[in-house]
Amino acid sequence: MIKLESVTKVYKGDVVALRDASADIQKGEFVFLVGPSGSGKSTMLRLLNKEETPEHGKIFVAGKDIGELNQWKVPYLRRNIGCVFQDFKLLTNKTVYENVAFALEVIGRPKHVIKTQVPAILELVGLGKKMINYPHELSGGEQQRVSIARAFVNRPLILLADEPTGNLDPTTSVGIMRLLDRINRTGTTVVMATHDRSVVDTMRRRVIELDRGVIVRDQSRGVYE
Amino acid sequence: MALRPDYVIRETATNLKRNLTLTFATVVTIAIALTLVGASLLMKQGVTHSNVRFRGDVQTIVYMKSDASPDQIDAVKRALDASPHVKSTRYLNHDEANAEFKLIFADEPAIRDSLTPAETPTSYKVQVKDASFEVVQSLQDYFKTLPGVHEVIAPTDTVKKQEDSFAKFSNFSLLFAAIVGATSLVLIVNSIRIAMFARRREIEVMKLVGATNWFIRIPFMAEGLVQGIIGGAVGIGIVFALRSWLLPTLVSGGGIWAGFRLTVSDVQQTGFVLIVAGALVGIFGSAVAATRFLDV
Repeated sequence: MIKLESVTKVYKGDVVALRDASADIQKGEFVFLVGPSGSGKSTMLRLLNKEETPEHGKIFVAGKDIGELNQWKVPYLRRNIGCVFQDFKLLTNKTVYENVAFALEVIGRPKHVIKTQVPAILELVGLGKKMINYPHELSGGEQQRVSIARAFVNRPLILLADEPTGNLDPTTSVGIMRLLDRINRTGTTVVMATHDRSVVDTMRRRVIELDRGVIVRDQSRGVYE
Repeated sequence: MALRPDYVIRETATNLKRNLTLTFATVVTIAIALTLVGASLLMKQGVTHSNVRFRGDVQTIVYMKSDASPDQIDAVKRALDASPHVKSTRYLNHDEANAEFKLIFADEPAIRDSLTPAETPTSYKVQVKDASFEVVQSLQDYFKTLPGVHEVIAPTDTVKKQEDSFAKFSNFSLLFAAIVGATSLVLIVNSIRIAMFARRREIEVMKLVGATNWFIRIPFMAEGLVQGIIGGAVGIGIVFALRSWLLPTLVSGGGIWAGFRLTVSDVQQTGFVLIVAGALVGIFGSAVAATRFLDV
């Protein structure tokens, strides 16, 4: 599903964010990216989404070399990739329902599809009763659920999560991880960058560890260490 | 991709409301620029109209009374031929005179159809050898006294002066309009960029979930279009107002304005030009702004 071949990403001022990184992630896998701040976890996610382009190496997503992708085709790539962030990135002037519907609206889904899919996904993440609430009326955990609903409503092949539990307390984090696990069981490939030791240790999934841009460990059923 | 009209309308309305002051400034600037463009275009047309009678180097026209007898008409012809200052003459009979009258008032049917050929005064169009003011003036004074002559008119220096000053004025206002037009383009670009900056979070999310650039750009272009069209409409309003209130005062005041005429269809054509110009400025300005923002 995702394949990196000797990928190197250098930011301005010779800051090497990723050095000669190679990895192969199968369809339906759940992968943790771990490592200290600045080790290149977020960069790797941004490369998969084509928010950044690598200096060297190739990246394949769903069998396609995304380096070869025309700029105008990038939106269509992103429709297959859901994104979840530490700061949720919800639109504060829209309700829970509208936030999720927005994701379908901007990719041109017809109204009747939106009307059936949005309540269904909100029910799935446990927010069926909070559809008309605004983000500021929700707890952090609930806001993250909205953000996950928005990322998943289009049934993407891949879900990228950048520190999704970074702003949440341990109990709430467990709930979010259960949700991501559930999404993974539907066949969606999940790649999650995290600092959260307990989450990684409890889930026992594949762990890719980065240190200063280099992959130092790639272990199935690994722990945070 | 399906871009739903209700989505574009909703987004455009929100954008315009959010930046009301900036929208206002942009509209006013466009309106001023287009008023100047409109005024200078009309100036050119007005001058063309006022000189239509004197086309083809005709320097003097002797209008006969509509009931002048053939003898009187012949007498004037002989007097013209005898004059040392006259190079050539051309006689316009009732039908020809009526045809020219219809041409001059082509856009105003009420006046155009008010005369039958028989009622239209015939005339001599006279080319003068030495078209100095004094010569033309003396011809005018002499032929006015002949029996059967209704009126003698000559463009003399007035028309020349009028043409020059209108040409200068209209060139100046075109230049000025170009400057103000460029300013309004910059203002539109700026106003759209502020609108986009205010919504950068929304745009970020849109890009993340896979909205195409056109999908993001079109509501902003519609915003520019609305600003441009409103600006154009206000410009037309001002031009119309100037024609209805200011122009009659100027014309009746005489001087270089005497004989300056604008038809309704002149103003309509100019109005159309203004609306199209406003729309283009709006769309182009916002497309530039949006593209620069989306490329980041």
